[in-house]
Amino acid sequence: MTLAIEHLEVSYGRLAAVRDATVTVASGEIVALVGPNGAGKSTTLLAAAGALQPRGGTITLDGASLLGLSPEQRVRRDLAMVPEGREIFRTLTVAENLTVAAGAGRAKPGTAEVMDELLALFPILRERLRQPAGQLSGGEQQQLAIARALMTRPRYLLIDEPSLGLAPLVVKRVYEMLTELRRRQGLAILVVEQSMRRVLSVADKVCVMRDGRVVATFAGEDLSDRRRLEQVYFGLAD
Amino acid sequence: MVQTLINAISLGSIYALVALGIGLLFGVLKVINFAHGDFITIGAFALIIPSSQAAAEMGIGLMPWPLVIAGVAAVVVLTALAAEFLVFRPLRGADSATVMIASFALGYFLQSSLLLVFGSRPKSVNLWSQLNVPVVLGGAETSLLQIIIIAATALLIAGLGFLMRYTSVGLAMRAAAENFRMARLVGVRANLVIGAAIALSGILAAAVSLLIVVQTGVLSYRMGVPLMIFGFVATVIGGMGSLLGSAVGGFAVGIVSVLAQTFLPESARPFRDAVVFSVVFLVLMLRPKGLIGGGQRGERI
Amino acid sequence: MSAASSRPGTVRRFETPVILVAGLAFLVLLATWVPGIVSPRSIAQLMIWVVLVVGLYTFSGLSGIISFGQTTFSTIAAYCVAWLTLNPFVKASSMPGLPQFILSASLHPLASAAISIAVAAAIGLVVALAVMRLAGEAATIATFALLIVVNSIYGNWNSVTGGMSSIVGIPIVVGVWIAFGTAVLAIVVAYAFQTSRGGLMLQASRDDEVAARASGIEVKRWRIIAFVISAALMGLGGVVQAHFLGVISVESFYLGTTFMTLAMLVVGGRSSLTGAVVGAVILSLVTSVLRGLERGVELGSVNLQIPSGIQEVALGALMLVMLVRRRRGLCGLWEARFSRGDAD
Repeated sequence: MTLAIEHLEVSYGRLAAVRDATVTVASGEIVALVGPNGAGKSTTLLAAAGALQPRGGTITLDGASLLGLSPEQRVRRDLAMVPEGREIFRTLTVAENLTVAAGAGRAKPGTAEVMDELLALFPILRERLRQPAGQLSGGEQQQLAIARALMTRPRYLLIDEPSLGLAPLVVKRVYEMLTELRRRQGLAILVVEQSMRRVLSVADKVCVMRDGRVVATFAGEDLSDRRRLEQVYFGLAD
Repeated sequence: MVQTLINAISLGSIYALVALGIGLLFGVLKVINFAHGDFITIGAFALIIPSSQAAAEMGIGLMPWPLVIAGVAAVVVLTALAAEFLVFRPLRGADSATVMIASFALGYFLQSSLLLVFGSRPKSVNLWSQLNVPVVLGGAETSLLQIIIIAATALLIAGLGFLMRYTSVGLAMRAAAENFRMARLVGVRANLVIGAAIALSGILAAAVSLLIVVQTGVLSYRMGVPLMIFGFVATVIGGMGSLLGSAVGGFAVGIVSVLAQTFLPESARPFRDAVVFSVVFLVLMLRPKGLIGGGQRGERI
Repeated sequence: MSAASSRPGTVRRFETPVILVAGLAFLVLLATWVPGIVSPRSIAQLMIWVVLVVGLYTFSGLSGIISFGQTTFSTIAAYCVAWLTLNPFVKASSMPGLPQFILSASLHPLASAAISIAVAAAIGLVVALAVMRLAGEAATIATFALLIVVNSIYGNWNSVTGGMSSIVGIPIVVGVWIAFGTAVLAIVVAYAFQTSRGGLMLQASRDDEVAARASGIEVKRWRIIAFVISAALMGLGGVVQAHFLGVISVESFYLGTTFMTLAMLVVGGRSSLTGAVVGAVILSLVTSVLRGLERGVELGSVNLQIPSGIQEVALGALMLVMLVRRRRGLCGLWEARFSRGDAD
């Protein structure tokens, strides 16, 4: 049970954004993809979610290729994404933001239960159900974006810079939620972050990306070697 | 005075329906459909039996009225869906200029196909002429047809509003209109949403076909073009991408037209359209984003 | 982007217009020296299409903003020609509402051409100042509205334009060589603008929205300038057409012409001057073959004839297929060159 991105290449016109990225996420794992601005992390996620067409490499879910599938088809294979900057539907109410994702998912029974469960996890959203989502604060929008992705009942969640623009306390809360989700539902999470510090405490595996390539992957014991991690991150070692 | 008002509202109704058809597709697809007027023309020609004879012979138009409405709507919706499959879908992801040219080419293709089949001479048809009876309302004389136009428009707008607000397809369309990529990332089926938008746009076009044929009694292969222009103008002044704006824009354009018609001196009447467009230009100079479409980025539908 | 800007040497700088002009000259020579292949008249008409398509390209091709209104300027200039060159007696009966100094005018075609093109350009400037305030789609709609408005004014202002009826009796002074000369002029003007700083900036803004936004005000200014040059070239096309056929009407440069010029530009490739010229040539030839077939062709004992009206339907279908299959047109961004290997 794995989401495997292997030797991915993506370019915007003539500009190569991702040259060689290999990241695998097993079910129940939290994997962090870190690297400096412009390394190609977000592009990798968008390609995995189907929003960008890769030029080379493979993307498989449980052994079956996802290439050529539209984003909405990938959602039906239990892959969901929370993009950078949240991208909630600002003119829709909070409830509508959640319903639109539920209606789109596979016809799983118990949409209402899922919604209840999520609203228990994100109580602030319950208070705001009837408000246009554009009126929420940044932290609330991030929670809504995550909840919206979870409405599709994914087994794999791709999440891009959840800490961007949020206060440290809110970020802490978001990460607590992600670990909680993993614990409860066995959700596999691929999280992109610029800062390594944030993800070290939660990630089972850290992939470092630079100039469009995943240059190193750390797991288990290696994760405690902070010095080496930092050297790789800043390009001082490979 | 009441009579002028009714004239203005009924003309505005037609323009509002055209503008909604254009605005709906623009909202979801971000495509200006230059073939929308030709969808209207196709709906009108669907009433008669194909022939290049000068005298039109009714086909669908002879049936009982619910079947006429259903038949015309079916023809237009099928045409619109065929356009989606053959032209718009293969161009998904192309830049908006390409898609605009394609819709213009589609319009030209439809016009020249109609010309080939039906000939260039305008044909007179007699559909539901009993609706053109005068009625007195609030002391002013008007026709039953104008009241029907207004009522039908109100019904269609209410129906559209209900659909957008309370159904899952409507919700998906609103989400897609605001952020198409994100809608797909939460599983909204792109083809379903676009298909729904284009079919609805076709239904609105079919409604205009019927209303305009009953009102004017004439068919010609370019009859949809001027209507479409007024519809465009209405969507632009209403603020592109806002359905409410399209409707309001349509009524505004209708009212300005009727006022120009009523108060311009006799010799200037032929230039009514030019006057209306000048007013529109002025509005755009003052508010480039339209009357309703505010400054914010997210388009509303 | 055009690679021409970065290349040294005057010969190489001008290779694109030289090749294009040589190609057109070949067609003219073919028509005048080898009888029976293609008539000089249809080559003259082809040259006028080249003028119109190059005119459209100068704005829409370089800026990336589609205009459905450029043929309006051909209408304006062509009517101006009629007002200035028609026999005063004819004018007095068909267009009695004209002011006295125009009614009595009977100018030399060159003088009237200059005035007519200037009028088209001036109106183009006014329109551009207004339309360029609008963004992308709204600007395109505005150009379409312009087409309809001017058509409705000219079609209804009976005392000045003769309304819907055709104006006949404009001096016929254009033959294949003059038509060729104006096509050359249009190509040279368009190429000079395309390789100027402003032209390069427009192309950069067309290909890259970030660049467009970064230099917003200047891009807008160059768009206005491009629009005016385009209006002047469309006006030139209108003038030549009027003097070629001797007849004009409000339908001469209306939806049919708008479609035709766009189809030519799209089929050839709307992002290159070569594409504009190639598209005009190919579609002109295709249409004249189809027109011939509509009239009927004797093939041995069989008279081959297609129903009239097929031509328009076929062109519409061709353009749609082209857009769906090869949306950048035949030429894409490529410009004709002697040297190989730098096709962009």
